[in-house]
Amino acid sequence: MFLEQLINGVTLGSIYAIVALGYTLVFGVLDIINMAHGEIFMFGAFVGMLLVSKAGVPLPVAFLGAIAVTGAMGFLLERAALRPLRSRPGASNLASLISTIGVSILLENAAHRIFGAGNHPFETPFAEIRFPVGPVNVYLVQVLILLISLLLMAGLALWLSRTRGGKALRATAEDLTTAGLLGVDTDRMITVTVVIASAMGGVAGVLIGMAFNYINNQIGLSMGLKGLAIIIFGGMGSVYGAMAGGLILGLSETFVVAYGSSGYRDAIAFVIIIGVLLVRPQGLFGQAAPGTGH
Amino acid sequence: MSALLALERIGKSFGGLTALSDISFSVNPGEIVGVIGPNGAGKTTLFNVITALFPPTEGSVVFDGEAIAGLPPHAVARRGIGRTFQNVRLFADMTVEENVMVGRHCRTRAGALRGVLRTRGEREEERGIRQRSRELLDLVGLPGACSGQAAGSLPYGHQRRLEIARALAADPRLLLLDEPAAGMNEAETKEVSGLIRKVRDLGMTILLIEHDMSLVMKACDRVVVFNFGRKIAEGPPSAIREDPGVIEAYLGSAEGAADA
Repeated sequence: MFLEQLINGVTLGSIYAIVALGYTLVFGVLDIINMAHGEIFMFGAFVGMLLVSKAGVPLPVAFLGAIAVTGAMGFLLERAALRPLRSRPGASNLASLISTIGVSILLENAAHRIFGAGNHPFETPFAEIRFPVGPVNVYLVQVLILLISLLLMAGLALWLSRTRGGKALRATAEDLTTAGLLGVDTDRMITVTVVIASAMGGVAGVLIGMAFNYINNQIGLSMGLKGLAIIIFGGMGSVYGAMAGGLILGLSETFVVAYGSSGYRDAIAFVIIIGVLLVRPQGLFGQAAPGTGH
Repeated sequence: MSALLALERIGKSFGGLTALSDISFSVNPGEIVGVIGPNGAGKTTLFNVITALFPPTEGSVVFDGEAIAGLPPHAVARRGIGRTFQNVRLFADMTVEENVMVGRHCRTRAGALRGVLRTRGEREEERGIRQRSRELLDLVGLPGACSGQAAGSLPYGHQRRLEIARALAADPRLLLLDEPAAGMNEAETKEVSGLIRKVRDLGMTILLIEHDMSLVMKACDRVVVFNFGRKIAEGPPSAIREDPGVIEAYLGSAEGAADA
């Protein structure tokens, strides 16, 4: 029982972590929360659902399709809703925050129009395949979710730490003006960041469909709020904070349901977050205050 | 000899406040030109205009024959203008070596996929970058052992040197140094002065803002003096030292000096 719940929790938590990473990357370079991230995640789930359940294509193709669509949505979001505000002198960060809220409302209603309300089954051909590992049964889906999430997180961490683009992104996140003066095309880095973050949201959308076997046009909002809670919990802008925060939220939610009551799932998970924040207001991996590095 | 940098009637105002007006002077290849003046005279504003952090309100900045005002900052950096900052602006969370690598960003090209997959071309390029950043750290006098340390954890004097190494990493033709000796003691200032001349001997042209007069007088070929956003004098250090207008700007009028 405990081991099974542990596996469930880690699976759910790794999806949360990927959603949270999308928020954290964008927050790093733009200092705003991308309020449309949850809805982009939802579109990833719907694209995956259409490709897997309706078109019957193999899962890798569904992931590629979701990445393409959500990556393109990220590109459009940056060009249409973020960049025009950024280039205006005197425009505050709040302006772009509000415009992402606008995009999120637009996307939620678009999803309602296109896909309708209510649950859509997300059927994978291997949903029932499981195999015994020691005393517990593990679903193939869980293994896949975990593998894909870990690959994605490791790939992102490698890209950020090793590559030229990753270093430029970290430099841009730490000090946009200085990075520009050193020859980094910061507008391009911001676009790249929003596209990568959105595509990660798209992958997470397909994963959540695989995990729960159904999706609807409300999942963006609830996942969005959880992603927000995770990055505050993990430390704003911290990549490792998003990963750890996602896992902790996934595990605590799962154990609350298993050993307590499902009705209190969100409440108890958030009480844990609030408790940690009371002790460490900057979040698990956050710095004491932004900008004190200089 | 045609000028590497020519400033033509530069004016800059913020709202109603005039920070620079009618600034014209040029910097020839291989020169070390000092910009001095009391606090608030507009020296750093001039650097910000040259590096395209903001456009001039009037006038033009010509670098190597090309008008560069209006280009984005990264494009100006790519054309060969590097700078350091009055208040050190390192990427404090990144390592010393990574700071230099970001400085080299606009001279490298490895793509994302190649970086993750570690192709041979990528490894070779990275080896080249590491080699170059070690050379640069050596040039500015930073011990190679600190290259893996977080830049923010370096002592202040080392941070200033690292900023110079980071600016040099982009192979600039013109280097703008904003008070490189600020907060340094006499011995360190002397070292910075030696470093500046060493960098010039490598073929770079230098525009230097500095308050330390001994450094300016020793290192510079020519000095431009600012006061209240205007150029009030220009000439070799020996002439500037004797210029009555400059003495007045620094010490106030004879009457003001008597009051003080």
